[in-house]
Amino acid sequence: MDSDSEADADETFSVIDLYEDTHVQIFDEDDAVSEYFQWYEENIFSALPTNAETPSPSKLREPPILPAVMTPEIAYTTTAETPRTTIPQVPAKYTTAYQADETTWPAPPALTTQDIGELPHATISANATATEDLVQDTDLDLLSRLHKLLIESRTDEEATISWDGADNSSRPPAFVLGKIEEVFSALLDVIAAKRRLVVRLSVHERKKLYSRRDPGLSWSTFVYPPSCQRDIQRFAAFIKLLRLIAEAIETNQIYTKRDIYYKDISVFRSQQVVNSLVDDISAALGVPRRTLHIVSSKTAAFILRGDMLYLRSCLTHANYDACKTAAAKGLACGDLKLYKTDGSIINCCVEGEGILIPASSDIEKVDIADCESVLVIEKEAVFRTLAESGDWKRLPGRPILLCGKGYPDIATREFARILYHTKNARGCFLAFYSLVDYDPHGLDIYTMYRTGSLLFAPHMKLQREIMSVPTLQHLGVKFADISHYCFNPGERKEPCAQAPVAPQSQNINTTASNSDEQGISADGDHSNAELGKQADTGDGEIQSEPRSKKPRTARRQWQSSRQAATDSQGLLLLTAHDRAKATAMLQRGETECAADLRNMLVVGYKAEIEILGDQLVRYLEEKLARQQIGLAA
Amino acid sequence: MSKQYLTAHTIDNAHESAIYALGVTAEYTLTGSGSSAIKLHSTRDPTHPLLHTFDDAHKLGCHHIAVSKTGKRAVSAGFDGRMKIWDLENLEPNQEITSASKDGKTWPISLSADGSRCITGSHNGRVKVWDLDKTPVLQLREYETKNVFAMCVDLSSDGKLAASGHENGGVYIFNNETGRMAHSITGLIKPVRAVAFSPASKLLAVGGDFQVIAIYDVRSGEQVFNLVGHTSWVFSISWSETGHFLATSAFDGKTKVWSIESRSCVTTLGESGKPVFQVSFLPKLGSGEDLVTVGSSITYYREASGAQNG
Repeated sequence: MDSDSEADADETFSVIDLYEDTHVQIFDEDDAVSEYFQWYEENIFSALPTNAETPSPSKLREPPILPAVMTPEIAYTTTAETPRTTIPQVPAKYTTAYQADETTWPAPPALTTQDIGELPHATISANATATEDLVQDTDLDLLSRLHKLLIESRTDEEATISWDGADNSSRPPAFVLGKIEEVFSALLDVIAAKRRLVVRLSVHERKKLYSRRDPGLSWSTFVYPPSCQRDIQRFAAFIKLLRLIAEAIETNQIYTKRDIYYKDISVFRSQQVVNSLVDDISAALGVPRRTLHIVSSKTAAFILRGDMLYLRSCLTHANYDACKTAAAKGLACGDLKLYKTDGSIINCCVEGEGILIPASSDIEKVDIADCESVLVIEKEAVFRTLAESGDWKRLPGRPILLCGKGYPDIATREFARILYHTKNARGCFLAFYSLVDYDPHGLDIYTMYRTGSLLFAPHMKLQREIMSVPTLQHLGVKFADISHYCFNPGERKEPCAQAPVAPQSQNINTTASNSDEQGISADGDHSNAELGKQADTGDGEIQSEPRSKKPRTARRQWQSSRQAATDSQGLLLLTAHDRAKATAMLQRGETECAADLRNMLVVGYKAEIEILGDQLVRYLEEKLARQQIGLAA
Repeated sequence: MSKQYLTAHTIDNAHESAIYALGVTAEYTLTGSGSSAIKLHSTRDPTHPLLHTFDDAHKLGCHHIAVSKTGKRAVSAGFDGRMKIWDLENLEPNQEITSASKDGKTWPISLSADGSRCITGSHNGRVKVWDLDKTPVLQLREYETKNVFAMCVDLSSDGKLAASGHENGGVYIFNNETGRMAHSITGLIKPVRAVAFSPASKLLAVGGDFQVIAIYDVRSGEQVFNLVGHTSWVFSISWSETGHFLATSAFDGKTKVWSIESRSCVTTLGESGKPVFQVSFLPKLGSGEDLVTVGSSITYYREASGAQNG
């Protein structure tokens, strides 16, 4: 296994190495890449100059006529320039670049196979200086080689493979395998015929939304032969990832994104590259990520911690459904029972902690008892507080608690969707509320539950829908709550007192502290009103510094006599990152929480759920009770 | 001694969302909100009808509007970081300050009385002074502060002095003629949301989350006195034309008018409890010092006739 993957790494590297390495390693004869490599050995010099900072020689051979389809794709390539955009200037550019080369690289030593063989593969693609040296080595008869390049022209044709993001979500991994084979064989053909290969991926919606460019231009392209260092890197990473996916599917393994990154750090360079490539491929092929046999790193980590045996069974099991099961990090707690496909029953009404949400494919049926709502919670800590204390049972509507631990994974969202479709014991559908931080990420998480991931294009509506809960309501923490809880603590009691449900909940929750608070609150209201009056008449308030001391200390006293939640100290200033995130969310046309986002930006504060402190249960009581009344009315 | 104010007119549904920005000239009351349009209501007409709308001014909404006292020019800043200059005589867009957000997104803006000078503050604490009479606009000064979000800026009416207030409580006064920092005021720890030069540029009023309005002497940089009374974050400060009165608005929905002479609060307005993001005195028409506030709605307050001016 180990040696396999090593060889694999080398194979992919050889794709990159085409441009820089004349050294041949021994590969399986039938391997596409190594075959290419052999071809390359014969044409050793034709590709060499690509390594230098000069544009690809392939540009020279590029026909000036472009297929009309190609033009719009330039849009979202991460590279600054695509070869096509530079074509008209190529000859001039190339000459100047070449001249520069000549002057900067005087009399290099002759190139030996030995030398190059010693170059570590990793440095070739990643390290500019290494490649420079290499070219230096081969500079001896560069001119003649270039000349050769110029006359030897590729055919004008190019092979194009497009993955248009059509919905293939129900197809098995074999479909993906076929698609990958397609690319590899096309690559082979193209290499043999010295043509160009263009692989186009339809860019998924998230990228489209974040891109400020024309939304019509929504293809991500990978071109062989690549034209610059960045393109080489990109293409190599793309091919490597396809190879790994194929390997994962063939051997029935599951890779995490992190695994993939570590398979070849020098090619992928960063985790982000892997993440976005995986997303792109999954969206362009129109399959869920798990069909690629890739799961998120977090998920796997949790499973590792949670159930070692289970993980092993996932990894070794030849069952596709087992792969699906790997994606579980969400927690649920509530008065419901899960009937799994394997016949086991999970009772979620266990004291202490919630249960791990199994994959939707493993759930046969959900049996909801006397619950009226689902409370979707962002934070695990908050979830645990409510679950362990059993407070959720006393909340109005006995909500089922659901926690995705930050951004929810697929299983959690699908589970939410199942609940959305399920009626409770009384034959009613459940109401959905979310309790998230009052910050851009919290609102983003809320949106994610509500509308599904942005990963899937609009025409993959089904895919999005099976992971969304359109009736989800943003319960809190809200902008209004902050002003409410920070400045008008007295008013907070009123809705609860008026609520018919309130007495009931108070009965259950009667504690010394609770009644204490009420007493103080009432006092506070009084003094608040008085102060307000004074302020209105302009008496007493006023004041230059010395005189002000008395009323201020008095005020501080009645303020401090209140609960911690009334203290604005729980508020945090927005960071630059928060502001950027909020602006990005506004820019992608967020309508759900745009007002909240703007208010957040203007006011400049964010708050975490924890701002409520020990008021959390009471806050939820009030909020949920109010929602119930709202629904009744 | 107190002032009596009446709610003269309220425009409830001026914008679809909360109103963050306000600019008042003798002709128009400009308001900007979460929606893309900037609306111009009449300032003079007692019914304050809508006179004009700048459609699609800022796609993501507008958070600041500054107008010149002469009423000829307005500048607006949007959530997307863009800044637009408006010609209020011909009611048309003029040009954009495109380079303002080059390093650090622009947040607060302010104009000098004649509208020729504009000051901007950015997310990373850069304060810049622009000459808007040039095309394209010319950057005259750039002041670096401690890389802390500049929440508010102001220019003195002659444009010679600049002030900025920052998220960490820092307040700086700059001399635009020399390009130097004249005073650095520290000690206000909490975010500073409003700085305002008095009409004669002798005093600087500073308000913010510390809930006190601090008045500084611009020449010496010394604190002269405090105005105490707000129980919430102070969002905006406006001087009356004569400099005798100060209007402040706060997050808890209260708007207060202060007399500088007696250093006291002369009236408190607002019962809604909803944040009042901006307040401004209206250009003086009659004897009273009229006000307009924006937040959830646009509200005009008229000073009750017969009341004695303090």
